[in-house]
Amino acid sequence: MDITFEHVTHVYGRKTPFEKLALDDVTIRIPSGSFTSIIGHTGSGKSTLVQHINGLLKPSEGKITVGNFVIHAHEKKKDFKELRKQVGFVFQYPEHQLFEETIIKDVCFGPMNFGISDAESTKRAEESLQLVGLPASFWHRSPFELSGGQMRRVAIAGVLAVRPQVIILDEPTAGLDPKGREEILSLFDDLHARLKLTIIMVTHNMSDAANYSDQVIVMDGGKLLLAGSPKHVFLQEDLLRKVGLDIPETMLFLNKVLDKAGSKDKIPAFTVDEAADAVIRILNGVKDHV
Amino acid sequence: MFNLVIGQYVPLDSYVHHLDPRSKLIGVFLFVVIVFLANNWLTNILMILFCFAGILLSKMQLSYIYRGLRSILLIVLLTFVLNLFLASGGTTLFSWGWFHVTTGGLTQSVFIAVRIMVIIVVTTLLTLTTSPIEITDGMESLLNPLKKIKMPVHEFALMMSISLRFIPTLLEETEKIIKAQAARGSDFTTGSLRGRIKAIVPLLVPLFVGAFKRAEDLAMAMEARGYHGDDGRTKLHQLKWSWRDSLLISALVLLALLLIFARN
Amino acid sequence: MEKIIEVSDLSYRYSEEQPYVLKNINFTVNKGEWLSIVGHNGSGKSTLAKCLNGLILPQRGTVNVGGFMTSDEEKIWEIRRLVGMVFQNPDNQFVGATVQDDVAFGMENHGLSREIMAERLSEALRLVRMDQFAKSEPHRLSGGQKQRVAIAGIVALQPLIIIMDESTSMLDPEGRKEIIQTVRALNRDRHLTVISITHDLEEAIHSDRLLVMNDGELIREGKPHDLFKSTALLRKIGLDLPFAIKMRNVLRAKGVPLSDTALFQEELVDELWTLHSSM
Ligand SMILES: Nc1ncnc2c1ncn2[C@@H]1O[C@H](COP(=O)(O)OP(=O)(O)OP(=O)(O)O)[C@@H](O)[C@H]1O
Ligand SMILES: Nc1ncnc2c1ncn2[C@@H]1O[C@H](COP(=O)(O)OP(=O)(O)OP(=O)(O)O)[C@@H](O)[C@H]1O
Ligand SMILES: [Mg+2]
Ligand SMILES: [Mg+2]
Repeated sequence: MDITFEHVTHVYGRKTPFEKLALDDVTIRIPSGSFTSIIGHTGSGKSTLVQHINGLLKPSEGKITVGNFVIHAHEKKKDFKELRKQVGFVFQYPEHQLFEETIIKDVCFGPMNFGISDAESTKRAEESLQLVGLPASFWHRSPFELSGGQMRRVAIAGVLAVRPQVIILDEPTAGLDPKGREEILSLFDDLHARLKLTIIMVTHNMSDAANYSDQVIVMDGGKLLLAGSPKHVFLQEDLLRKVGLDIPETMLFLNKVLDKAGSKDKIPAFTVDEAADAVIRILNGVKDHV
Repeated sequence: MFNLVIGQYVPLDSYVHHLDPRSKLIGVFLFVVIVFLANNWLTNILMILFCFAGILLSKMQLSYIYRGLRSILLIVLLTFVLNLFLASGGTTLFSWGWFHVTTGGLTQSVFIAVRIMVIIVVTTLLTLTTSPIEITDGMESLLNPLKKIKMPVHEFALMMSISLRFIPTLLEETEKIIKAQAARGSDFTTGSLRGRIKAIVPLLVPLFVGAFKRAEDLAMAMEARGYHGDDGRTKLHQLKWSWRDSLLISALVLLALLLIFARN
Repeated sequence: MEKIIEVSDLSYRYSEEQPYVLKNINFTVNKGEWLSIVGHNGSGKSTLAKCLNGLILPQRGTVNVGGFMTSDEEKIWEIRRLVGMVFQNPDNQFVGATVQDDVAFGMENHGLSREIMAERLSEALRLVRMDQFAKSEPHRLSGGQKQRVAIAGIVALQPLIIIMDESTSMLDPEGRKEIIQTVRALNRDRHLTVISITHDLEEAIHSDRLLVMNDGELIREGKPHDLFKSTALLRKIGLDLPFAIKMRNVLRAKGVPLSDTALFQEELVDELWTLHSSM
């Protein structure tokens, strides 16, 4: 399921004193099976952008294609159910949407809404809960008795149980402790690798964007600023800084080492391991020159 | 959407804006009583003139006032028509079956429509020129004597101002939850009535859970900042009664006297 | 050094049926220092923080703040004035209808006169750089701005201590930076004692002292440099490590003979350099 945006514009509160141009002529392509991160300053339009992909928001201008599904501006009311079955959406603080008496019932909510039978829904719910690593002893308890991190997993299982082809994550790790963050991110990385799901993640964390994605999209003031591989994007440090963004901490560290060596080079290394190798190379390189 | 709910306070620099909320509240109350004194053309015209004077002094655009009126225009029209047919007296202007429109009925209907309209205009003017927090402060101050008989006036005022403060937050939250459940295939807009009622549960439960969590957090935060009820508490906003306020009340008393004098 | 808080033998449980969530805690806080508290979710950090301004009274042990006991009912409001607290969720602690009403809320509670309030209000707002927004309503502010308003509300009470309970965890990186800078300035210029509960180790390593909590116990206490010498324990209780330490460990595994002193990235770079030039 390739996703394309063609000249998409979105205006909030049209013809009111609060009118706000949140997306401005955006054209992008997100290939099927890719892991795409979207970064940008607060208010740059990231959430607005991704909410178009499953029809939660409709474009004011332009056209969006998701697989065979086409959304035009200025078209009549449309049934988005089929689209939403294919495109799962994990909101920021998804645990705020839990409501059922038991965890398993809450996870079944999605599949049942999409017309999947009770038995099949339960089966899928159990699978998803296993996938997010919540032990079976919890399944028949109330979702409100869990810790924050566990609640978030239940909410994510609720999205996985529909078995979407595309998953959108809007700042999925906000407010979690480092361990919880790590676990959630590797879960999606794994889903991406094993099940070939298309993952689209909005994030404020440059290291996460660099480490997990094939493509990074940079938004600024509702416009598309940059798109490309993490390497391509994060080598443009000056441009990123101009729009209030940073580079991954590994690169920040390498900059310090390179500075000391009197070099103006930029090295795109995103894991600590890659960065360590680069450090050793830099040190040896300096020695060779002396 | 927000503006509809929180009232439509328009911050401007005008005579009416600078009035003490207490005098405005008393004024509106008096006005609503006085309105019932009007019972002929002269007195009704006096009421209308008074309203226009208020609007002029508030520097408010007529379109804002109209927006306040628009929602109840239908009700005014309905009462007008009803009265037209029901009230009697004077000469018959027009008959249709056993409906008779009489001159008495016509004037009567016009008076009642005017009465409703001026009341709405004056209350709209109050909310347009007074922020919700000022209204709350004014009410608290006016109801102060009730504290003597152990009425929780301060608590009531605080509750009101906090509710007002959280309305936009809760609206935002509602929108988020609707979107999130819609993404999980829930549908609030189509289907049978029973289906729709069922679809509201996934919206209401998270909304209530969230509101309770908020209330708990807020109570904790207020306590941490030293809140312990009304005693020994001071206020940043002090209401100041000035000559303008006395002028407003005098004008209303004068209007009342005029009406008493001019009515038949 | 002058002690400003003394906690001795503190134990607390939320109810009789539940286990103790704080067990035999002892520590002191020095005047003017920046103290960070780290620990995994549910280790008892927030509960401990609430003991420090008397929102929670421990079943056993005592908490002494600036010479007052939190168990002393007469002094509790004075303690709450001395100890300001910024919570996690920016929305749920904004009481006033506008920025200035919110900053005034605490002062009103403590019965300050209008003249003093007006004076401190404008000073506090200037300090957190929110003076342009005095009349703004909360739903027109960003999360970081709301947290700065919360800080202004505390500063206006002229406290001795400010406790931040994960006050930056719901903010974007920029909002986070704003808050840290604001509090740093208060700590430096006004000698306000800061107690910061955080999961962000890059922030915690810059504090004067660190407390490590695990399952209701205070298991480590010390200067960041000492604490991060041995990382095995911290790893075991599920804490993340600061970037420079992760880097140091990987470099060591790759055969670079680094010591275990560097904690900041700059230190690590310097050490790499000396090491390298002496090779
Ligand atoms: N429901 C809405 N009504 C009106 N304006 C809105 C609405 N939602 C967002 N906006 C505005 O549109 C712009 C883009 O908002 P959006 O939420 O897409 O940004 P974002 O990049 O996701 O920001 P953040 O990093 O803070 O989540 C902002 O200026 C925002 O204030
Ligand atoms: N109001 C409460 N009633 C009962 N138990 C509670 C309450 N608040 C916290 N607890 C329990 O007390 C323990 C310590 O909680 P606390 O909130 O102090 O942890 P924390 O270290 O602040 O965690 P986090 O990093 O998630 O904020 C936890 O096991 C928690 O479940
Ligand atoms: Mg967003
Ligand atoms: Mg906590």
